[in-house]
Amino acid sequence: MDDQKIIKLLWQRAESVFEALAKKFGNRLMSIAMNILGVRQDAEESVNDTYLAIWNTVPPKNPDPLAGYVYATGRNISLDRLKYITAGKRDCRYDLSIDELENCIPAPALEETVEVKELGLAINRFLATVSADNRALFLRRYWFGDPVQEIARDLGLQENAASVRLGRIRRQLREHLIKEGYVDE
Amino acid sequence: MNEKVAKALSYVDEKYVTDAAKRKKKKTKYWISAAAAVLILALLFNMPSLPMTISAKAVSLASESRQMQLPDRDDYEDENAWQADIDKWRAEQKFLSDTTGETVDALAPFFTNGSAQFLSTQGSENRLWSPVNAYIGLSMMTELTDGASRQQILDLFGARDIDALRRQVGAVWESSYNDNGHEISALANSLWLEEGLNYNRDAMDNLAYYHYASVYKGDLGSQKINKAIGAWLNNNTGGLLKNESKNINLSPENILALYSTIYFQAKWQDQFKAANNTEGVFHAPDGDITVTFMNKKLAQMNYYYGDKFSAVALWLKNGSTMWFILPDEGYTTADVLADGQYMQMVLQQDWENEKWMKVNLSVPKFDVNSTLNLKDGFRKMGVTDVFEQGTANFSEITGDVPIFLTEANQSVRVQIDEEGVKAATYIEFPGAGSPAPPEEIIDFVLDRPFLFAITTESVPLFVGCVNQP
Repeated sequence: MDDQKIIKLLWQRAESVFEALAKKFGNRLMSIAMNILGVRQDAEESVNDTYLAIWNTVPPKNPDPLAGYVYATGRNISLDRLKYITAGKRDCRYDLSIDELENCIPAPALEETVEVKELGLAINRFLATVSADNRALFLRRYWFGDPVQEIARDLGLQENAASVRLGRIRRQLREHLIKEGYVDE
Repeated sequence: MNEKVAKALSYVDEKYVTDAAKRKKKKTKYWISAAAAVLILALLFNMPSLPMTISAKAVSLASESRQMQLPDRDDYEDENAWQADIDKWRAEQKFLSDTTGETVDALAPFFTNGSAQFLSTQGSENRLWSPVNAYIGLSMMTELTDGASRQQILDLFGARDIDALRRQVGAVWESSYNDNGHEISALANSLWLEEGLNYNRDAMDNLAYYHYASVYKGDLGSQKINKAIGAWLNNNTGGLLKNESKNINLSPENILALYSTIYFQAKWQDQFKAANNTEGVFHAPDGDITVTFMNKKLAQMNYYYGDKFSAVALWLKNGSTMWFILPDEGYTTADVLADGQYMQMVLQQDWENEKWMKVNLSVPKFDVNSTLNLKDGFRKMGVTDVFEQGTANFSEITGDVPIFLTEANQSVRVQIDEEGVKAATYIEFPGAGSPAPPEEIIDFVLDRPFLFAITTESVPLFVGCVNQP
């Protein structure tokens, strides 16, 4: 079912939309939730909460693209759930990828004086400068939290090559952030 | 986990997220299709050029011809300035001619072996290829490859390094290029990239400058890009290959596609008279067929002869030459191709077996085409790595993405034409060895499978084996 039809069902308040959402986005949402939470039961609850959040926000929202909105909602719900359950202390797959990313970000950008949104928009500006392939590689690793082996397989790369490219993209991100003024002392 | 970093990513544009998710499993293999060198010889027709509209994003656009135009005296107030530019023009012409000559010498084995590889057949089909187009197409690969993948191509072309090859390609391209609106010999190249491929900008610029290639990007395998490639082929072949160009159908697995064209159109310097044409028998491999012969009576021209063939050359108004090569009785076109001696004549390399004679010439009117996959022939000539997954090294374009070449197709169409009808005659040809022609007047009747070659500045634009005119 295409995105327009799903949105139409949401606007019509048709409950069949839950099945449509699950069919179209369920696997990916489950993958995001598992990467972040690491426990199937928590992940399933997070995915169900995501469908409910979509139901509650569309309308009035009319997201385009729908997929990005659904995944972003799911990711935020999983991150909030992780914080609620363990106060951020559970070891999960997502920890590793965020740690990788954190290491390339200049310290000034992580200071309390820099708002989350400000850092997020700087990263977004950086992503606008890289190729679509590299952007997908970056986001699969750090946004979706997928393991490198899986991303490499999906994108037709050797695992080692994918790691090397990710390293290069992280260096470029660091340089970009420094250019934007987040200079290490 | 740093919560701030994790949350910051929530501000990434949802379009990027959607695209990243979609890219999952989009490409499982990375292929290049080097395809469709499309060539036309259209004699006696003036084809209108079509408007150039390509609905794909241009990464870089091909360099125009950089050849200096002959300075026109009317454009100069100062005669000395005009004379100085004339000297510059002459020096450039000499440089082009010398470099082209050296390049043709270096490429002679490629032209000879390639013609034997690609044109020899036991069957009855026509087979044609464009040596210069294959040369320029493969030379483009050197900008995209490194290591053994590049070296094998340099070795095949006898170039010591990539700079030498660039100089040679420039000279060959400029020598072959001619477009005065009536006589056209236009070479064009294009590279098509998958949208989002992380390409090396320098490599694209080098293709545009040194190989006169335009680079476009889009969603390869989509209808839109198939149509855009078709439009590009149409535009560069005068619209004469609409059947071929409308069938462009790249696979979604392709991330690069290379297209190379030559559009050639010229008039005979001494045209056939329609009233002298005849209907006659052509002894094709599958049996006799009736064809229209264009005839010249007692035309004065050079008659050429080798160990296994005889030949004549007709001049075209743009300075090009069309060679007609007929195997002697008892030999086939495959024998002549395998022997390779004819190429020495075509390339004008110290050829002495020729005599100025009166020739009664009969040439069948033909419109022949063929599509060949040159991949196996290239491999036999030593270019292997680019075709092998695992050994192909295309690092100059995409870094560490594994790419290999799946095909190297070349479509060629050659058409010669003249109106009129009249009777043809038969001839006896010299036997083995290289005797001088027996009489001052000779009949040269191409009434059985023969070879032809079209050259400009001794560069072979087309070579073909005509089994069925």
